Amino acid sequence: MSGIEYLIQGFQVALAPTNLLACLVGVVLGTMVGVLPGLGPIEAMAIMLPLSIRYGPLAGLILLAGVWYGAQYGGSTTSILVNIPGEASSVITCVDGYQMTRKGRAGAALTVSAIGSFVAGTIGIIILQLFAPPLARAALSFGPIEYLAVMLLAFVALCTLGGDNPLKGALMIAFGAFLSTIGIDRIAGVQRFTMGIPTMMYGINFIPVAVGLFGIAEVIRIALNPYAPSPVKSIRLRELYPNREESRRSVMPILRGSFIGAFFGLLPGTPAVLASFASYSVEKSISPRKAEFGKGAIEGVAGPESANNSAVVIALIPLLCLGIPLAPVAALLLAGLEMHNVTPGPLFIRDNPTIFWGFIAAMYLGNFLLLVLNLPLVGLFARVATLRPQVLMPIIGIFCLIGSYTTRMAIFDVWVMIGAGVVGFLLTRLGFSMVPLVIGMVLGNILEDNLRVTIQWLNGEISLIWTRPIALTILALIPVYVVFIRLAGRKVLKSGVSD
Amino acid sequence: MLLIFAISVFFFGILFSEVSAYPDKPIKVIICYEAGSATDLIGRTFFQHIEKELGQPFMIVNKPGAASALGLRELLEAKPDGYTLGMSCSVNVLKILGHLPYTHRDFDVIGIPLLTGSILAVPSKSPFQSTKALVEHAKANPGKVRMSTTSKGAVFWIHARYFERLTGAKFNMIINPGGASFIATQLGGGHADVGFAAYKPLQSQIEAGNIRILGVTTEKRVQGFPNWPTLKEQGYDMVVTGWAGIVAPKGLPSDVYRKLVSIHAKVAGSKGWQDYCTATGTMAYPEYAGEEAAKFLDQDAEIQRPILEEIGAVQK
Amino acid sequence: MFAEREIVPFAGKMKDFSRAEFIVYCVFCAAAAAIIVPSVKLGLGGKEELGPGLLPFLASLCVLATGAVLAILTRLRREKVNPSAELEKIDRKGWIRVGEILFSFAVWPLLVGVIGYIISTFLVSLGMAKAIGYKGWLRPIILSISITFCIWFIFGFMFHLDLPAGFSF
Repeated sequence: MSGIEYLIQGFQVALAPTNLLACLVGVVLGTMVGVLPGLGPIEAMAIMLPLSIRYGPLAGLILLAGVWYGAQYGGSTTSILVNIPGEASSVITCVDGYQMTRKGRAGAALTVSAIGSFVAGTIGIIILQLFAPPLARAALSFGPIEYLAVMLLAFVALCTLGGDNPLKGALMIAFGAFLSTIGIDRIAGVQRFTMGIPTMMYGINFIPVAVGLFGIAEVIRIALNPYAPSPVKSIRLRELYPNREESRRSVMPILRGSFIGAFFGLLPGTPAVLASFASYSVEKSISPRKAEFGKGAIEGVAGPESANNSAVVIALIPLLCLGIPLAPVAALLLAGLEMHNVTPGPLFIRDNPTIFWGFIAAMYLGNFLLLVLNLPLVGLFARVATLRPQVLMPIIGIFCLIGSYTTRMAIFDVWVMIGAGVVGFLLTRLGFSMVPLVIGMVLGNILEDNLRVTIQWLNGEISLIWTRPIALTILALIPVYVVFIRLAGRKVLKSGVSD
Repeated sequence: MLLIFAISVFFFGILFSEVSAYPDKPIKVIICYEAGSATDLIGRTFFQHIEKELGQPFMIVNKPGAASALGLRELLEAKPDGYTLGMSCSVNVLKILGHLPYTHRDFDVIGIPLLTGSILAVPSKSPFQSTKALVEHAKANPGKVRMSTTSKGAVFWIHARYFERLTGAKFNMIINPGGASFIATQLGGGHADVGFAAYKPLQSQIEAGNIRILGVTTEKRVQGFPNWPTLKEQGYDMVVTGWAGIVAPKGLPSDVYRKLVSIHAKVAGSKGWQDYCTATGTMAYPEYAGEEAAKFLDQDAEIQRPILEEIGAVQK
Repeated sequence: MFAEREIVPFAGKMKDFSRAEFIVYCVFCAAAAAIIVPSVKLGLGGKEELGPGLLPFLASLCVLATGAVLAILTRLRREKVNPSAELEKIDRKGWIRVGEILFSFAVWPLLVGVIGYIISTFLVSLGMAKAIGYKGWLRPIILSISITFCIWFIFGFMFHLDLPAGFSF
């Protein structure tokens, strides 16, 4: 049977009532969870796990995966509307998305985000369908050095996001990196800066910090002057959707984001977060409208939102084809499958074609369902932005409080969120950008882990690097990337900026 | 007369309702590891089986951190009424490790649903065909043979160091912060030379033929996999088992305790659970429930203590 | 809601602004300096293994260095006024509102363990509404009740999460 025939069969299976229902429930729930700050796909999937067991392995898988990529869709909604990251990979969307809302372009941002997510998700599924086994083999050939090389490349790419003042940006990255070290060292097992507080042993949770730095800080800022008139008086239907210019500007970022996300999806850790940051960085670097980034550039929404969706889809490849969950969320999917006695792995596609192809078909379906669900809601959501602060702020405040509690069921996280809100508010007023801080927190962990594992691996023989062709290729890409970015930026400036 | 009868019926009613009332609402279980991890899977599967016996659903909450210390801390604060339980793989050594000033004797131990040996695995392309070959090579080349393992203090790391100490060979320990899945990737991809892990994380790579098994750390050959030689029969007296244990806050009412323990023993000995263990290369002993389980934990702690001391994991 | 958002100093004295910046840099430097010694104590590691103290050490060095440079630059900078940019008008009432909002936020974690999330959520949302300037009492109370109901419905009922109940529910 050829691939197409398998796929058609898969669709027939996916459209069976149970599976279809699982798909619907999954994506709706995922979107809801994504919208709610604090509650992320992991928690929602964990709650759904017992339910998913009641149905067959395919339905369970569809349900759980639907929650996962549905959350990527929903996470951007609150980021754009009220500057609150619904979950980690939506943090960067806050930056330009919220500024677009303040200019009255919330509908456009939401629409572009939904369409971008759909396109990227579909591209991701196509890649998965066609290239899963070879990509999985490639993932297996990545050892510690290769991962380190990729992270270094990512680090270089993300350095451009330091904000207007490189010194302030460096301060923030270093501060974020320090914060990421608090807790029990994952390698040596010793406590770092936990100051005797038991909850700190697990480190400072990222979500409450992100919600505080962006969302709560904004609430505080609005509290300073809640009576200011809003430029968004009413929303006409025409204004809900992106105008021609915005649509034109979104096309390439969406495509680029899809592939950037696909690349990061194969990496261990939290692929969607890195993917969204990387996409933002690339878009900002090669855009002729660099100065607009941070003030409402649509590329800053289109790119990252696409990247985080394709990353999630591609992250399923190591799980399905190797049986190895490289991302913590994938571990949950693995648990769901295992409870049905289905073990994913290199023999999975061969031994369980119905499940594999049914799942692929369900992903296409789910992606499409999400688009159909979200587009009409854009109008409703955009109107939320017109609520006056007296009504909006208490709603936001309570959801943030409860949300940050529910990440780990710890009151400590609520305090962290409030503290981060104060810090974010003060630092933003003084001209610091919160983006490098967040990058420092995310990358600090990852780079440190990869570097330490690599050093252990080398055991003093640095020359071993020369025996690793993949790693060398990636490292060689770093100067290539830097040069390319400079050239691309300069070329566009030279050719004149029209519009 | 009628009044006395009514009152006594009423009292008997209360008596009976109390005894048979447990459990009358869902039971919360704190699994002290991340959702999707090996222990989480074991716990969820086991409690699925118990649910059928007990009749009440279990609400599973994941509270990872500090080798189960964080979750157990929360368990300690819960009411000892049988509606909050916990699952941990290290409850008896947390005091030694310095993560928690309590041992398993500060809890009511319900039972040990599962024990697992560790597998000594190598990439299938590895030149080592036996443990002996591996050990001799490692001794001749100290620090060169890469052993993939998990964070310091974690079960597989303890096993790896124990092996080092036992054989006198010095390995280059690659400590993976990500957990046992990364041992599977490193061995499967050939980035490390050897590693200790349980069967589950390695299963897909073993089935795909990327990983080969040199030995297993159980006393006798594992029932489901009779062609795995034990390390003991190869001359390396390494019998160490990882386990998962279910505990409750101390002070359970005696009837609740007895009920939980007897159901645990029943399920652990049931065909469904025994089949699960055989299929996953693990073992379950229904007698490890209640006080017997606590005694096993006593002994296990004493086995682990000298290892932990010698490898410097003990916090003074 | 506001004019083009630029990161500009607030309307107040420029000297206040530079002073605030300077204080922040000093705080960062002091904190970083305090971290350096414990980091080294954690262990920097060697050729074969990087210790747990390495990243904190490097990070705090970086914070110290950049903080110091920025502090010095603040002191040397002349006061500039940027009349073309619109400055946000801040008055004392604004800061009081900020205080009230922060207080509302802080009250929730304090109360929730004691009297449970239903009552805490209701009280805190009401407090926030008033702090943000919701006039009257009837409408804010209706809002708070709706919010509390939504929270209960979504988190308690749908997701069955264990929100703190205190001694009530």
